[in-house]
Amino acid sequence: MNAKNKEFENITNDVNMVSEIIFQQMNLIDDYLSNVNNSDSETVNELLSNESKIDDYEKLIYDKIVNCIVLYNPLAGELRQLMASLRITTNLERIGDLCINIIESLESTNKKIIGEKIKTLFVDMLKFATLMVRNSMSSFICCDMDLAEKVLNDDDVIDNLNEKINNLLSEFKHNEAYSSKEELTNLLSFNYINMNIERIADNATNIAEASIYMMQGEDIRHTN
Amino acid sequence: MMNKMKYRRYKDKAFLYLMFLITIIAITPLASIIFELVAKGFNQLNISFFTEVAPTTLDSMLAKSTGNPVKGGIANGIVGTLQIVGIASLMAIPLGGFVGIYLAENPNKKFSTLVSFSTDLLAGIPSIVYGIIAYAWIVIKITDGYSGFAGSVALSIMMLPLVIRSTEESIKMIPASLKEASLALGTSYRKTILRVILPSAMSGLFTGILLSISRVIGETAPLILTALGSQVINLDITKPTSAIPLLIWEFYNDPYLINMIWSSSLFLMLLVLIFNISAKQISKRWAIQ
Amino acid sequence: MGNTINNNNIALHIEDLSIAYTKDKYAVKGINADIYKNTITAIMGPSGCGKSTLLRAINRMHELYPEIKVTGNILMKDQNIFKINAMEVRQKIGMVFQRPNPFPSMSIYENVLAGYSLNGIKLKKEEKDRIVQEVLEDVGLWEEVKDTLHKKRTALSGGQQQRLCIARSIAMKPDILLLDEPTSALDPISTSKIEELLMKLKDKFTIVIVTHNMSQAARISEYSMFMYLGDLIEYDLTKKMFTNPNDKRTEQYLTGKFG
Repeated sequence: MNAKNKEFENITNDVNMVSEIIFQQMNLIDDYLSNVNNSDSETVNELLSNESKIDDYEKLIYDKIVNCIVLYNPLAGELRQLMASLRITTNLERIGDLCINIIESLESTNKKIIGEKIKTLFVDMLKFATLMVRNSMSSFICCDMDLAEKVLNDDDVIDNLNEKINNLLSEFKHNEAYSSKEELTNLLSFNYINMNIERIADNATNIAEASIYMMQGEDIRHTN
Repeated sequence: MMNKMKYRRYKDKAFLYLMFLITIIAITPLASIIFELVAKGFNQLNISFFTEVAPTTLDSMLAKSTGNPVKGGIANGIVGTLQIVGIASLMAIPLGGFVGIYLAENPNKKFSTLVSFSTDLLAGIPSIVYGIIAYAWIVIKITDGYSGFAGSVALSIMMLPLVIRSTEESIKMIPASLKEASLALGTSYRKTILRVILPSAMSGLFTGILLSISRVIGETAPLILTALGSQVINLDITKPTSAIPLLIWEFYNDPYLINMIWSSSLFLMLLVLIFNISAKQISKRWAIQ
Repeated sequence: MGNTINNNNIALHIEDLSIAYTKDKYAVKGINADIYKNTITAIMGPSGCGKSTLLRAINRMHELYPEIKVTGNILMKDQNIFKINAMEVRQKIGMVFQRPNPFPSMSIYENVLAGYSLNGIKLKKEEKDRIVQEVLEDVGLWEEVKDTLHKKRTALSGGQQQRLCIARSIAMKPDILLLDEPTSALDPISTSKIEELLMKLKDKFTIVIVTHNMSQAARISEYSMFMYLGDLIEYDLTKKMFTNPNDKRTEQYLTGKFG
């Protein structure tokens, strides 16, 4: 295998590594929500330290991609692969940011008064978003067109869950007078968390679109 | 180990000296010829050498008996050589040129192979045979007697292989890209050869011509059978004409004129030298990078 | 490739063109393609794919070698170039070669006008001067050589020589300019000057360039042809072919799997 192919493989591996860290982040949030281990501060610290790892990886991947372009003047499929890698890295980094947003928001809520209903919905939505990210990454690594298209369609499921949560929250808004500042804060936080999980799913579809671009050469961004 | 190195160095040096020595030996004949000719012929070269016709036996007998120096020069020979070689060139150069162009442009045809082979054969024929052929064709059939023209014919056939070969080689040396460039502009094949290839090959062509002239300028045997020689300056090529090599032969055969062989030979050799050196200089100056 | 193609846009219509060196050895097999006016079309492919052979058939330079047989048609302005006089074709379709080949026995001035003088076309002195200056300005040589126009054997660099050859070709005001790897013998700076020149010239001429340099094709051509073993594998807009080729073989060539 020549130097060029090795370099391309390295970049794909690096992008994969970033996605692994992202999955870790999303698992940590899931743990937090499910109260698996009671040491919340440890979870938060892990999330934050992972985040800086993601940033480092992003810089590394960008450098490698620029290097490839300079040295190997890639064309056709190879060019598209690099461009896809670039887009996906950016999207993964954004997912990382969104995870941090979610965890910080969760920290600011009073866990004792998080309703079971909402918690379940969040957990479900998060699990599904995680699945979407996994699938979109698989479609990239394995060049699986069907999987990428599935991710695009799965966006509907997220939208569904998103709506359910919104409905729940507006019920809460309408039916109860705000008994405490805490409850209001929680409401706002839950809204925010909902939005962020939905954005994670959004980024997953972006990754799937980048994957499709790489495989097919058609740029289908902004058409759905 | 050191001894081996020393031994090899000695061998190297010995080889160098040997080569030097052999080169000296090879040059010696030329050097001695030049020396001999210059020593014996130089003082005979004066104005009258070039302007007066060769003295006859009678003239020299009289001169000897009266104790006067022999009057005369080789003017008739010079004029004759110019005529004979000039006309031979006029015949050989265009013909040889065309054949050379044909061979260069059609290297793979069977006919070209035949022509090439014939040219090589032609170059190997002894010079006296040319004389005999010209005698049979021209002296007997055309000019009804010895003539300068017959001599020209003989010499021109001798020049042909040289002109053909040098033209062919010069043209072959022109890169094909030049021909392509000309044709790509829509030029006809004929014009391409005449106005692009030939001018670019000019130095090689010219050199070839000069060398072929210098080759025949001193030929004697064919001229004996064709031009015969003449006492006077003769401008009619259908009549016997003198030539420098013929005069040298005549002087040699005449006990009274034998002293003139040195100056004539010297002159002839200088002519050949001049032609050769000019050829070299021109080819250097006009060479295409 | 667009529905607005009509005959006015097409400079060359190549129809079922095949070129054979010997009885069964085909260097070019059944090519069908239209070259569009005022564009630069690049012909690419690995060594031995037939791209130079194809190019040389367009101005009938293959006829220098009588053993080469050509079948098919090439139409230019509704005329079949194989049916008209070869010299006429070559005056309308110029060619620039890989190694610069200005005529060494002529001055720069004479070189530029060589197409006219060699074809016996007489011009007035003012016209000659005008053509020489115009064309040398077009190729960016005028300032460099205007003082040595009539000197024989001026020394020009490789890039200057090649520009002179281009000048010589365009002085004849051809419709189409063919270039056979024109910069492969030149240094990078000369190469880029000539690429710039070609992009400028496409306003006046239709340009077809054979190149083994993919970056060059990408830089200057609007359309590209990819040839392999005598076949025309793909012919498309350069941008499309270089980012998303249709044929797997094109993809392999572009990513260096064979070259």
